[in-house]
Amino acid sequence: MPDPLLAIKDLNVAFDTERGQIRPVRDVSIDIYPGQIVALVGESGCGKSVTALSILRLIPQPPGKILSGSVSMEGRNLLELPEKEMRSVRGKDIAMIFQEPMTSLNPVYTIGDQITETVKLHQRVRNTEAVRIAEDALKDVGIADPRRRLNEYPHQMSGGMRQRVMIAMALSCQPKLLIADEPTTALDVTIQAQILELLRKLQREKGMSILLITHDLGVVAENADVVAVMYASRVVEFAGVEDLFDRPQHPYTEGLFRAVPKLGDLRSRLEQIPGTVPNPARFPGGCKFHPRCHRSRMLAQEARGEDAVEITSAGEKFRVLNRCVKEEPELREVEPAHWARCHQLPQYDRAPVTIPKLEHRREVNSQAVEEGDIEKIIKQEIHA
Amino acid sequence: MPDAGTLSPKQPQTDPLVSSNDEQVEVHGPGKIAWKRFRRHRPGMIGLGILIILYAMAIFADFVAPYPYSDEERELNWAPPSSVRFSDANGSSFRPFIHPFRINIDENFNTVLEPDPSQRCYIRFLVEGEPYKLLGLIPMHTRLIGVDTVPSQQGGTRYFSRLYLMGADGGGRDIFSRICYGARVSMTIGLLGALLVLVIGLTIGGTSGYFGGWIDDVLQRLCEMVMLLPGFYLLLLLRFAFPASMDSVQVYFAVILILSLVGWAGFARVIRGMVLSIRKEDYVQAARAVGLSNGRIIARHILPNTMGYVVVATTLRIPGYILGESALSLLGLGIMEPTPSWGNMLNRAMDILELNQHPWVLWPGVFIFAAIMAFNLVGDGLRDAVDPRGLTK
Repeated sequence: MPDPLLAIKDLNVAFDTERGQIRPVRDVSIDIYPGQIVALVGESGCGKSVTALSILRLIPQPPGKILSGSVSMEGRNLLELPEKEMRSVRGKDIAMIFQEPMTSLNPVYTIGDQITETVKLHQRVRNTEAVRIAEDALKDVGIADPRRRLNEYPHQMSGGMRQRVMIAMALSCQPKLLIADEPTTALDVTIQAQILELLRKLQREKGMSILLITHDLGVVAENADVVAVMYASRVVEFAGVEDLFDRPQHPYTEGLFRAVPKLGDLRSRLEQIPGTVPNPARFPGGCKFHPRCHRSRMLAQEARGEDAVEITSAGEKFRVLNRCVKEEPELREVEPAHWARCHQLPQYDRAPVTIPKLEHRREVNSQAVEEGDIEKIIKQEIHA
Repeated sequence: MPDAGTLSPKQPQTDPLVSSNDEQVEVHGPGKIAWKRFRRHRPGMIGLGILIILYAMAIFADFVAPYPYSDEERELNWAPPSSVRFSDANGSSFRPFIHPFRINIDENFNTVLEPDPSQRCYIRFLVEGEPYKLLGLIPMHTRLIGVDTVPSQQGGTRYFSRLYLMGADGGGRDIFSRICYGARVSMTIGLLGALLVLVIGLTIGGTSGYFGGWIDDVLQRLCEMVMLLPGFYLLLLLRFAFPASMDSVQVYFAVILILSLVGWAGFARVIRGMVLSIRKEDYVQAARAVGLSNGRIIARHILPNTMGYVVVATTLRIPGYILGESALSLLGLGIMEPTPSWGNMLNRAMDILELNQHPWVLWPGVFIFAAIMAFNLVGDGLRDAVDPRGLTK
């Protein structure tokens, strides 16, 4: 197994707020291998973005602080680098694109100014050379007439164009890792598909790794090699993409899949996970998911009296398993190359606690999808 | 099993975003847009015109002024403004002229200045005058306006052919000439003072707002201390921090320093507030993510976004500094004689008796008024021009 490009190990991040400390990232360990697309999935506020920002040490300090853990890249722990060296990592080794292309470009400078600024910061090149690199970068992301676009201001471009510009800027210094923090959330569906296709294409061409943060399972299914599902600051499930979609282990992941609307489904109501995301200042005890967990509720119905307790969540009274309330589960390798954080899996008690590492690549050839074997896939779907 | 995403529609071959756009769209930067809108603001353009005239007057004072600023004619003290005529008892003329002054002794043995209507001194343009160096470089002796001279001794009476467009002061110096030279001090001191405030305010406000925490606390308390003192007392206090006797150049720079030390606090506070909101913008986060240093982020990505306010505020603040200089000079604490500034020229107008007898000493006040008015008009125009909510016509 080759060395990972980036290894996040036991990362813990805290924010001091007026109402006490909150812990948006707890014991998160994720490895990203060269050329891999790792998806980080979860609902708003689960700690995805803070994890990503912590890699680049971009969380505001204070109030934020990294309590413990390490983020190593090529033998260096990024969390311990002096600020000056960290600046040369940002943009050069690890680039990042953000959710909001409309506001991620500075309105007072032209596109060209902003790309060449990054280029000149990290590469010792002359002005004319920097402009050429910027032009090539725009061409790479499929912007027509890049020379003219360089002289345009962000307000002259649409959201999709701006996101392309952001990608061009991020890739202008050939980073080894691209962190894409919900790169398509602010865009409409057709543009989303184009941007993702572009990211996949560039990823293949340049052989870089991508940490893809999203809450869109469709995006995950189409792009990721490995998926980490986060809930309430913790990674609750970690597996290869096919494994996760075929055999989700954690009840939260199952719930997410059930909540995806399906074509041809005639039921009037979409299924949802009951309750709401817990407030990070007041996480429940035990398993953080137990107030919303259908698995625990089901099992509690059959359980003996002392094994289940009654709790109130979202104004509703029901019984869940005692163990879920009392004891926090660990992230265990419940199946080979599949980690989950749930007591109620039959294998849980025997499963080893290992650090999740997966040098897995997706089997579905995304090339085939792109080149239009859509009919074949639809047929397969129908047969299945 | 759930399968959310393998069913993706085939990507269209032509990408609507990438369609090439052949017609050339004129690219407008923020500055250009603001200028386009400012040009439609009539009072602002009038103000700009006045400012251009006043600055031209200051730069080309040697050329515009009929006499050097220290050119005295002591016998013509407090001479009234020359009345420029086109006709007199001897008929009319296309060329404007003035009557030369004649000194008489009245029945109380006081000297009396009176124009002699029997002689004419024609006003001429581009005449030979005292030599000077234009812009301090080009030696010249042509002046814009001058008058013909008449023989100074005629049968025991002394004649003076001097052009006093706005009268003369107690030393017989031409007030108009001195106003031209005084513009150099008064019009630049406000500008430089405002620029220095700009530098101090942007640095302190930017640092304070961007870094926050204890840096912000310390800098803000400092601002508050400066703002607590009433401006004029602070002005006087700072003036006494400098030695009383300095030459004109030293005083000039001292006054600039004093003005900016009084004015920076309020400005820095507003900048801090703006930086506090701008630093949360996504593009600042993005700038950090590409590895820019804090200093560069402040200078290149945050402060330029305050420029709209900065330009307007600076323009509207310049009048305050002009007045500050005038006030100091008026009290004799600013620019010293013989170097003229509009403020120290008004010094004599403080005496009500003198003002009564020679009302023309108020002329510098008119210029101060015009300059302040012009800066305010331009400032208002700029405010409308950079206001993003303004009508885009």
